[in-house]
Amino acid sequence: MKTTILKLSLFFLFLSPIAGAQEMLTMPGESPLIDIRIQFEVGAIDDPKGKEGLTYLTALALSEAGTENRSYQDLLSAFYPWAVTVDTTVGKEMVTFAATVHQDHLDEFTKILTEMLGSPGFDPKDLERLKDKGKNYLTQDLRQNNDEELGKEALYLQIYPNSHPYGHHNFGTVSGLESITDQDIRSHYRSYFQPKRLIVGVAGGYSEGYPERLAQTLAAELASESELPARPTIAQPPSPDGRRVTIVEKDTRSVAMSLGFPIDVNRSHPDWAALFLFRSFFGEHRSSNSHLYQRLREARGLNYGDYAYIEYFPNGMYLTKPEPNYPRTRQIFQIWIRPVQPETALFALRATLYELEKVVKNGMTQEQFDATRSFLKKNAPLLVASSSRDLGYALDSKFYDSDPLVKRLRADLEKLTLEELNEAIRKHIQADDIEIVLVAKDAESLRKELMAQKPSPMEYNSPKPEEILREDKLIESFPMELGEIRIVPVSTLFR
Amino acid sequence: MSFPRFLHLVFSLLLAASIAGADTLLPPGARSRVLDNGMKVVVIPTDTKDVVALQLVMAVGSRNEVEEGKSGFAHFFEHLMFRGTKRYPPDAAQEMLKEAGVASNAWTWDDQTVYHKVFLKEDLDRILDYEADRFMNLEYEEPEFRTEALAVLGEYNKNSANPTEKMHEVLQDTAYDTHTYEHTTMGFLEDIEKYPDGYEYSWTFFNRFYRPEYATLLLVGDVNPEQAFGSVERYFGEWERGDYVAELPVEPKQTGPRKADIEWESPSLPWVMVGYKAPPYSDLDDTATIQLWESLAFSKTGELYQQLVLEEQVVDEFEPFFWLKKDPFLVGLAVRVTDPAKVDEVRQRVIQTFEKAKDQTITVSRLDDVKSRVRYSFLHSLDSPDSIASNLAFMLSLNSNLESIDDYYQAIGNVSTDQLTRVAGKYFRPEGRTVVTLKSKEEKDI
Repeated sequence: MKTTILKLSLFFLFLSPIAGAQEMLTMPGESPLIDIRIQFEVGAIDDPKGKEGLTYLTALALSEAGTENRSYQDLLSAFYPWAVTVDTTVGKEMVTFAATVHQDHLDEFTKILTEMLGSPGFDPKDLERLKDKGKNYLTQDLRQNNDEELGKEALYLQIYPNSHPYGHHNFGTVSGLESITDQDIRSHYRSYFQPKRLIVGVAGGYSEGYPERLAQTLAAELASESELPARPTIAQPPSPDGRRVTIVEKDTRSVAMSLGFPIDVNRSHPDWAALFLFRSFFGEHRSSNSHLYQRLREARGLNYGDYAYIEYFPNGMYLTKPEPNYPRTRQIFQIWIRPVQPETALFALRATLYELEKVVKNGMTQEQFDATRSFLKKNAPLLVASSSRDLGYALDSKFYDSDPLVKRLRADLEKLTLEELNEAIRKHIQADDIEIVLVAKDAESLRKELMAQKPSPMEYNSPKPEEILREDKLIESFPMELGEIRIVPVSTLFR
Repeated sequence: MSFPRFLHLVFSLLLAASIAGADTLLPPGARSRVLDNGMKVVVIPTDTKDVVALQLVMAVGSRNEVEEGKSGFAHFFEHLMFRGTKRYPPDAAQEMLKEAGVASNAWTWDDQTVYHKVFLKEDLDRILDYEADRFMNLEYEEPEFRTEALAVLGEYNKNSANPTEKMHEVLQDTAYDTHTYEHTTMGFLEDIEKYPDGYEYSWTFFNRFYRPEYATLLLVGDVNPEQAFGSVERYFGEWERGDYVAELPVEPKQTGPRKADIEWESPSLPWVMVGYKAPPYSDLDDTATIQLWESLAFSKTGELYQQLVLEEQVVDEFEPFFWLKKDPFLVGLAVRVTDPAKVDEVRQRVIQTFEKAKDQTITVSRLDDVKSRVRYSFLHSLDSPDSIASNLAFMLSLNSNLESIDDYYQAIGNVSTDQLTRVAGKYFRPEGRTVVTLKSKEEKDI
């Protein structure tokens, strides 16, 4: 196998326990830029019932608000000439603060960062602003401005019922955010942002002893309460019963689609690399080099793109690679069909189910397996092509107790056989029990069309090869065998 | 893809070296050459083992769409460039790129279309061979052409739920009367819907613009310049020069403020977008000054952001825009207003920030802050060959001479506080202003 080194320097990874803080991960290198990722073992699953969004608000109260001694404006002014931002990732199970800072400013930045995380100001005015930010994200950006992200998040809500720890958006719900008081935020901070839940990651050309000093200072600043709150058990959600459709009704030109079901594979599972390869073949993110894209977009011009996932991947329309630090104990298999014209929606849905059913039944061929494996061997290192991403992925590997991503993928893909791959597909992927979310304007007529189960022939604006027309005949009357079809007005989501 | 999101880095790249006091910002070892057919080649070796980033920059974009009914065609054509050739039919091309693990895509904007790839150096020759073949010998039949037209409509559809996409469309349409900047890179919807009938025209477009004199090839990473020049010459040397130059309509000078209102079908908080005609890239001093002014005035440390977003909390989205363009484009700010009753007031305050800039003194320390910021932003951007290549490709699409980049950063380094107020006064006047306001058709439950 060929080896590929994409970084300017080789990083070495050390994991070590430190006094006070739970763990530290360091990747010394030559770069004058220092990447810092501070994690806390807290996430949306720790939001109390009725206070959904509390973890999100508490995290932003640390990174996008003032401290006891400095206003948020002061922080922005300090960071401006250094071109530094503290980015916050709120996931289901972890919160991560990430920054990249030049060594010229490392000491001063560290002082401020310690203040931000250790002595937050909780100024009511800042908290009000952050609450509005969360609510506007849910009611404006998600419900109204981005049908694709809406469809994906709505899919998760169909798979994880409200009672499940994953049963609300990472940013919470509108009513949850509204009901959170300043006192709730203070108390959540004290309970969850404790040294015992802290993980410090540092990469780059830092001076000797820097990560230890950072971790110890942070641990000393954070309040240590004796009781660590218990975290909820994250059970596997029930498998959907049949093919269940949710039509999210809103004013829109086209129909966005997301389909999926829970899988019991995450990065610590032995079949993860096999499914990683399968989803690359079936629907590599933003690539024309995958099966669904070729069949739906290239051959038929149904839309702009068609992809498949085995891990949570928010904001995919803006990113060519997934961002790290959204680790999850539970994952779903997901298909993302980019918006189609309403008149071809039925055909597109049938084509998707047809292709999924086919690949589950027949598996992948040796040729498809070899080509995808070759692609991933060379392409996977691009996931960690900057040291900040590398550090983020290393923290995720720690969460999953797995080898570093590229090393692990290479080793597993090298060993993988076609038989094992197809066995993994048969075991984890299926087309019978699946949640389907359609974001559409005229929901009632779409529901009637879906229920009628009539053929949905495609009409093209140009002649098509015989092979496509033959397949279209199969697809146009493909028995969708849909179960329940519900209509959900968009205004009721994330409420 | 029709719209790049990373171009703020370019600016950082430019200023960085000027602050550092270097004669040139270009990485050591950067070399350029012009082939006999007029194609430019730039090679920048880095010590990044094995990896090569390739960017093929075509100096054609939606600005060149001078014919009625053809808006958005440059972007559509970008899609067609993936339709294959005799030697590399689509399936064979996919197979080769997949085997080589190539990350590949393209984007189109007003002044340029850029095709980019990242791969391992062992694959350099076969990638160059593939690229040269498709740029010289592209081939597709009408049925595939018509299918691809639908994918572009799909791209329009996926963007259409976002109010700011619509606002940029209306802003440009309102601010321009004759120049092709009156439409966005996606083009007018009524034109996109007619693409399937434009097969013959697509070859006219190809034969006009996909010529070596419009092309700059950039290679960054683990490459040896001399060997790379040899390979590029071998594969692209036969590409035949053309002679077409689009006759662009000259935009008459705007003589008064303009405005447009959008009634948005979906529930939405109101948005206000305010834009002013800005200098073209060729006017280096004014462009550099406007760019610095915009970075200062609309940063999170600027007065307007602090008041509207942090203090009064009447705005929650705050999106300044200014891009380097070949002809006078727009500099502006888009904001989402959280209190619909405050729309008129917020709009007025945005306008005042622009139009009172001529009376306001900017301190030397603020100017130093912005220069420091862009220096460190630049350093942050040097994390991969792809990132370096992306930054340079954009600059080379505006002026293909490598030296022109240094000229621009010199202009930026020379900006003084006096210049900031003087140039702001020259451009931010009522007669150069266009305002777009978007309000929901009816106040629904959102």
